[in-house]
Amino acid sequence: MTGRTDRDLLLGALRDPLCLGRLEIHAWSELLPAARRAGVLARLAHLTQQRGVDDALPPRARQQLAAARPLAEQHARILRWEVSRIRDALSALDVRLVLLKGAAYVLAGLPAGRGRLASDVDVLVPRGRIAEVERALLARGFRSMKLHPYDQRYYRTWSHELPPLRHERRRSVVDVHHTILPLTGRVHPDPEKLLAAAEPLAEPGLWVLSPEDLVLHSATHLFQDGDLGGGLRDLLDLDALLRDFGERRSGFWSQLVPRAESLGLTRPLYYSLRFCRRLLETPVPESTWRAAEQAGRPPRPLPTLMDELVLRAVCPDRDDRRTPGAQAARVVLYARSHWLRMPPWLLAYHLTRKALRAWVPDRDEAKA
Amino acid sequence: MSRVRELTAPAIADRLRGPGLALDLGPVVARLGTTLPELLDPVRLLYGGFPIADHEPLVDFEVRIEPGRMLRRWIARQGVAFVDGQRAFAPFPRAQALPMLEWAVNWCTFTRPNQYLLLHSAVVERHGRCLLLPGKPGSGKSTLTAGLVLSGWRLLSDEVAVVPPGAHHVLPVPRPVGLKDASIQAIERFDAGAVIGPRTPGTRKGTVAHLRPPDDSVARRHEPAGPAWIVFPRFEAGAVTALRPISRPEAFLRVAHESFNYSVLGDVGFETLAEIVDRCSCYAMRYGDLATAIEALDDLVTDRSSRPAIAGSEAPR
Amino acid sequence: MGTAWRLPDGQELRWRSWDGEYLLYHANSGDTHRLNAVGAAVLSGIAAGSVETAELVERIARELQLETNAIHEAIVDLLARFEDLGLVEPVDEPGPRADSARDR
Repeated sequence: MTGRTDRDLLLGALRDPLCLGRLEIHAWSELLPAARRAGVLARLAHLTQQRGVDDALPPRARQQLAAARPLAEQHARILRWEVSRIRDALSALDVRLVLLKGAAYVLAGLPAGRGRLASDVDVLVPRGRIAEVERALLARGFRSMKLHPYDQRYYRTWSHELPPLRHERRRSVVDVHHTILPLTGRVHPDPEKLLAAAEPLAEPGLWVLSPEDLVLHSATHLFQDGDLGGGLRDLLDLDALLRDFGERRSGFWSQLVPRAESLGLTRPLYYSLRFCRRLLETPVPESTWRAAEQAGRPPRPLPTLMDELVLRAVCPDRDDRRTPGAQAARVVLYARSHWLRMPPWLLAYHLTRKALRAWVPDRDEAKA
Repeated sequence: MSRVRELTAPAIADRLRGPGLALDLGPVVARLGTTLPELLDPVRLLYGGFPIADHEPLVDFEVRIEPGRMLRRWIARQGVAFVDGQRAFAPFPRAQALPMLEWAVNWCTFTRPNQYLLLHSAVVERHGRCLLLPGKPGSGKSTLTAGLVLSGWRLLSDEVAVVPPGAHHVLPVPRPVGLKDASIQAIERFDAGAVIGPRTPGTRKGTVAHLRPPDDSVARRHEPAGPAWIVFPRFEAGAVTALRPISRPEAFLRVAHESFNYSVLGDVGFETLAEIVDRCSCYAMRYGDLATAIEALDDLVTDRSSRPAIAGSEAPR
Repeated sequence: MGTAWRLPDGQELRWRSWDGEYLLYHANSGDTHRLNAVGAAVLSGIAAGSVETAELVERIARELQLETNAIHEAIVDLLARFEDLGLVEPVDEPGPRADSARDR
């Protein structure tokens, strides 16, 4: 070991899987656990196979990577099947079924869909049709996951999605969104625009967000919507989307920033491109990067502070974990995400209730 | 390679406390570590026959059992488990460190190696072919496995049948056999010479202890065996031991249902399990005492007519 | 009934049979089913090409040497069950479902 951290090792491997053929054996015993901790072992395994470097690896490393692939493949299978069942359930309604996130990546055959562990289906439907869609799904065996009444209220009143629906026999979950960010947030990307720009897949009845919108949705999810627990996994999704669309879709790079402006998502785009370039060396054209900076960069000194926080939260080192630093980094970023989502008075109420419930788990809460 | 029992106690303690003790368990290499002095003797005893895999620069997983920190250490007397350097599972009473170690190694063995089909089953071998004993906890399969192993059967595993995709054989993982409550006494009565590790009372499963795997089984851990019988055991106090044939589709589904990763492997899981079941005669066995059960199984495997004559087919009609 | 049935596009079915029973692995859903001769005959009959319920019943009755009356209702039930599981679909344009049968 040359003194580099697990983080550097992992990022290096993800950036350039071909160099893994030359990685010394002791580094593998750092790399594999690091990939596991970050939840990206399956992605790494997909990359080594795709780049054809698998055969050059030490046998035990090759085996552990091989062991990581079946679960990701199963999740992709589940996604495809669930989408087909949902489409079937909604076939009588004249509603465009627009797929988001993992379901979109897999059904559209995108590189971002490979090596991923997620089998919940996310769909976007017009807000006015939500009730019908929910009824149609309930008629086919989906059930609203039991939640504390407070959470049900939160979802239906303030959130961007219905409470998740779980199928009673298959145990699969579908999240029905009517916009991509909570209604309580400070940013309101117009769902009509998203739906209007959606593109049909070869399979009849299925649509996905446009390339720019898939990227922007992923960007908001990483830096605004979630709690950054996904960290490196979500960054890898973004990197895969950007590389693929950048290569295959003409006009993608030039349309990206204007689209972000039109949806009010320049800030998350800025951060996404910044960290994708920095950590994964995503080949973003200079012109796009300059435009994103101009449109989305917050006033100094915020970016530098964010750098440190994000780096620690996105790629926790094994040692980091034991320091209060990484924990604190995550808490600060989580607080920031929530701040962007809710007005402060509501945030205080929500966080207090969540904190209380952590200590007194509810009978009603569904098990995962 | 030296075996664990060939090292002195201080040497083992040093390894456990420091770099860890790497053990070749068969299809996986595990590194064990702990600073709890009370685990030294049990590890030496139960894993004594295993070679130390010093030459392996890369292990499949690492399990460490440590005392809890701060309050958890001094007031609550708890232990914590680490898998690959990360906290895993909930803290547990320190007195249960040994079962916890075994349990953590089980967990890693059952959930990680998805390059294999992993069935929840004991596996023992006689006359070159192996017998699968699938069963939920409480079925008595561990007691039966221990009894068979003490009667000259080779131990492949007490919990998991490891099958490479498309293979017609099972890979051994001959680790200590977990026993609980009444089965501990039953085994001691069955064979007074049985080497059993310390008892740990008060666990979720009651009192737990482990039978040391025979040296021969450990030495042959890289020798796979082709399956010929699947028997679903069920212990019923006072029952007359009886074997009842069951259909292969029924056996297939019961085994698949209990498997650790059948559905994860998709079509590979289906085809691999089909190849195994195709080669097996399948039975349900009710038994009331260990000796008659072992006798019934001995008879089963010696009787050549118990092998399936007709292989299954791959399409309807 | 005049309903004709077919396998939806792209379904992958794998079969094994022992001792007069059949195991079916439906690769798309990941489900494994255990079928008797009638169930297997229904599915493999449909897999061979789209077919109307009445004709399917006749065919199976002939092959397995059973009375059509005896198996007709069972086959209708089976078809409903297979439809719920996504194994088969009616050949007509999928429209609003007449009943409120749910996925079980």
